[in-house]
This record gives sequence, structure tokens and C-alpha cells, in this order.
Amino acid sequence: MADQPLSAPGSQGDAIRTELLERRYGRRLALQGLSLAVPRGSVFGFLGPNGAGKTTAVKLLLGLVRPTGGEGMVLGRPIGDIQTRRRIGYLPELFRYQEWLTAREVLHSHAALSGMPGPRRRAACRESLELVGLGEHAGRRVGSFSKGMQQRLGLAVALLGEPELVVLDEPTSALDPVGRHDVREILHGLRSRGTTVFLNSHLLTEVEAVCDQVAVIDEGRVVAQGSLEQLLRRPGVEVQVEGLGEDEIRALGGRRTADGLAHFPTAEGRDVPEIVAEIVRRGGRIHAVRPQRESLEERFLELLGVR
Amino acid sequence: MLEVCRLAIVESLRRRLTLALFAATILLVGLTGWAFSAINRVSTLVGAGRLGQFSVLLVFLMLLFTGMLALTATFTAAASVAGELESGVAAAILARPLGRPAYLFGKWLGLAAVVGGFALFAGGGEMLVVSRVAAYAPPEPVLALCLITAQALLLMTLSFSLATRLSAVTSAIIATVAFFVEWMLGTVSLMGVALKYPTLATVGEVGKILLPTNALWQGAEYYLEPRALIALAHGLEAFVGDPFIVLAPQPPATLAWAALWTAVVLALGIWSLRRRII
Repeated sequence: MADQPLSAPGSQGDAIRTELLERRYGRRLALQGLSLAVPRGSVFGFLGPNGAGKTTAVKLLLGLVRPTGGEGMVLGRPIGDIQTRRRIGYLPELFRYQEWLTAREVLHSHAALSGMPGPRRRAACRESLELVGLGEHAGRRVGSFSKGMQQRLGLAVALLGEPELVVLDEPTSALDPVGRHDVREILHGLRSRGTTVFLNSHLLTEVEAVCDQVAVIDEGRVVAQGSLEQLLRRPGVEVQVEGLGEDEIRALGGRRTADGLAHFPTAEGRDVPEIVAEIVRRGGRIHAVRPQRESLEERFLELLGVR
Repeated sequence: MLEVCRLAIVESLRRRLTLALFAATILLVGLTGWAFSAINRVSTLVGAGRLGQFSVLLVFLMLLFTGMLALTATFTAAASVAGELESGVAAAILARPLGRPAYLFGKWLGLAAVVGGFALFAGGGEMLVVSRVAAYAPPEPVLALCLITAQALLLMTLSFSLATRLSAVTSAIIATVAFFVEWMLGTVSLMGVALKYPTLATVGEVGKILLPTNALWQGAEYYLEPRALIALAHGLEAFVGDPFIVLAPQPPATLAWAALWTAVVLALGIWSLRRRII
């Protein structure tokens, strides 16, 4: 994607587009040459190990940190543009809100800070709190909230006023399985509404479940980027079958695995009907068919050179 | 900006700072009333002697009050600024369409309202209770209060700006120590004048430029002293260098420098926050 200039017509469709974005802290390079394209309306996963530069990238996109090199556009405006922040919702990694305010007051305060017109605020705050399951706790002081509830509150703040772009930095780090499920549902809801989501997370299974596209960064550089379809390899199809000998399976291009399954290493999902028809024609009885796909975790570890 | 200002005031209310300051005011005013009433009852002085006695007592009381105010101003401001920056609350606020100058200035306005309000309320209460129980009122209480409040705001601004980079405790301690050092330098300078030793006097002048808190205090002190006492002290060798007698108001240039100093330090705080990684 980096071969298209930021001002090119194609870039109009991107919610985020960066070109060789760099941030240096003294002599340490926290982020180098970050080139990203996040299409509007997508749920974009941003992955990387600790210290890879993910949070620095998020802060650069929000204008909380200034780049020392490169350029970028967010929602069609240069990064750091203050007015663009009206259209962005942000959940920081270190989610802390004034503990002496109630949840409702935190939302009202953020509504005021984002310039939301007064008459809209009450309804918008209520909707946002209900969306994250804090509707019943709107009048409670934040100081009495558990960590998980505070993270839900952070999510409510990020979703306030239906922003065009939602940036979530580790949104489920403090949540229990129920909370994580709720966040997944919220993310699906955002996608169906056309909201762009930039999701920075360590939880690869979660990213795999909700993201359309991902980018993996390591030591400040993008090491892979694309849709999950493009990124994850498909190491064949597994079939649980009876009534076929080893030779017949081999004749179909497969082999028997140690646990008795027939494995077709070069086949893909689209080849399944043909494989099934051929097995049945040869008298085999099929109990299950599982197209294989490399997990995001496997691919992630491979990209980082861990495997 | 106004929302941040409002939040700073709400914070002081919710964290019971305002309540604590109110309680402190009641205690202070109550004790002052009791002490001045007792002194008034047992004192045998009349005329100029009585005037001098109550003048010195009020000046001493207000001097102690400025020390208390200094601690309140420095710790309140530093805790509020550094607390938000270190906890991450500021990151969530600054991700909104709000520039860092507006954020910091809004916060400064809110804290200035709390600290200034306390200075005026408690300081005014003390002068009022003295006038009621001892029938003694300084000649220019409003001007004196304004300068005492300005001193508190100046010190608050120093602590406030330091807290954009340093921890709350460090910022507050630096500002408080600076305040007391400048107080000592001011006293040393007066001794230099009394002993006709120019080096000591120069040290005080330099200190006044570096941190004009003592200059503001001396300005306030002048407005707390009866004019008759000042007229009496003029030309008398015994009063030269006396920290409880200020014979002239602070020149407008000194007051202008104090205002400029506050503005510059606040601007430096804003500059510091703009460069800080949130």
C-alpha cells in the first residue's frame, strides 16, 4: 500500500493512512517507517509484541505525540489536527478517569470537551453507558468501579457520540470472558454501522474473531499487513473418513495422519466439494470435513521469528 | 477550556479540599477571634501603643497565614496537574479536540478560583474578626488581601508549571522551599539595609527578581500598617530593617514584574506540557 502517495485519490477511502511515520525518543527509535492503510468501515487489528511501538503509533495517530519523521492522514486530515478529534473515539491503554466523578458525569464531561451540542448530550451519554452495560451504574462514582467496569467506562467514552473512527488500545485487558464477549459484540455492531475500528490488542484469538485486516509490527516496523485471508496460510483439508485404504487416499493426493484422519495438504476450502464427491464415489464414508487454516497466533509467532 | 476549569473546581469539592479549607478557615478565624479578644481584654496599652501592638499582631498573623496559603497553593496545584498526567486521566482528556494550552490554562483558572477564593475568604475573615473583637482594622484591607492572594497565585503557578514535568511532591516541595528561601532572603536584605551592608541588600534584590513573593508580602504588609505608625517610624533609625514595619508601598514596577513573572511561568508550564509525551 505504501506505493500510493497520501494525496492520491485512492487514499480518500482510507480512514487512516500513514507513510513512513517515525518517532524517535532521544537516540531510541520507537517507531520507524510505519506505512499503514486502514480502509474506512473496517475493523483493523494492530498487533505486535510488547515494546514494538503499537502504543506510540496510536498516540501519533491521535496527535498526542508528534512524529519525528514521515506523514499521515486520519479521516482525511493531517495527523495531529485537533478538530479531527471530534470524530474520533479513543480508549487509552492506561484507562483512568476522574474517580471523584460518577460514570454519567465522566461521559457528560467528555461530551462537553468534544463539543457535542448540549441537547444531545444526555441521550448520547445514556446510550453509550447502556451499550457497554453500565446503564445501571451511571450514578456511581468511578472510584467505586472494578477495573473491568472502568475499562467498560473507557469504552463508553470512546463510543460516545458515534465517532467515525474508534481507536481502542487493549480494550479487553481487564475484562472477564463475559466482558470480552460483550466487546466482540460491540465491535461487530460498530462494523455493521460502518464505523472504522483501530484495534490494538495482544489477544490474537480476539483479533482473529473480529478483524477484517491486520498489521503486525515488530521493533517499530510493519512486518506484515493484509486481510486475514491474505495473511494466514491454509495448510490443507482434514477429513474423518472410513472405508478407504491408504492407497486410495494417496491417489486423491492425501495421506493418513497419526490419528487416522485423511489429510490433503495442498487442498483449500474451495476444493472440499470435489474431495468429498471423490471419496463418496470410491465408497468412503465421511464423518467430518475440516478445512485447515493457520491460526493468527501461529502466523504471528512465525512473523516474529519465534517459530 | 471552561469545562476543564469546571472540572478543577468540582475536583476540589469532591475531594473535600474545599471542605477542608472551609474547616481550616473556621478554625483560623475562631482562634484569631479568641486570641485578639483575650489580648484586647488584658492589654493596658492605649493610643499609639495599642495601635502598634495590634498592627504588629495582625501583620504577624497574616504572615503565618501566607505560609499556610503557600502550602495550600503549592500542594493543591501540583497534585491536580501531576496526578492527572501520571494517572492517564489527561491522556483521555487531551485526545478530545482541546489543545494543551487550553487544557492547562483551564486547569489553572479552576485552581486559581479555589486558591484565590480561600485566600480572600480566610484572609478577609481574619481581618473581619479582628476588627469586631479588637476594634482594630488595617487601613487598606482590600489591597492587602489582593496582594496576599496574588502571592498565593504566583506560588501556585510555580508549583503548577513544575508539575507538568515533575511529580506532585517534588513540584510542591520545590515551590514551598523557594517561597521560604525568598522569605529568608527578604529578611536578610532588610538586615543588610539596617547594617548598611550593600551585599546583603543586593542579595535580597536579586531574590525579589527571581521570585517576587516577598515583594508582594511587603506590599501587603504596608497596607496592613496604620498610617500613623508609618509616619512615626519614618526617619527613626530603630525601624530601619524591621521586618514588621514597611515604610513604603511596593513600586508599580515590582507589582508589574510579579504579574509578568506569573504569566511567564505559566507560559513555560504550557510550553513544557506541549513538549511532554502524554
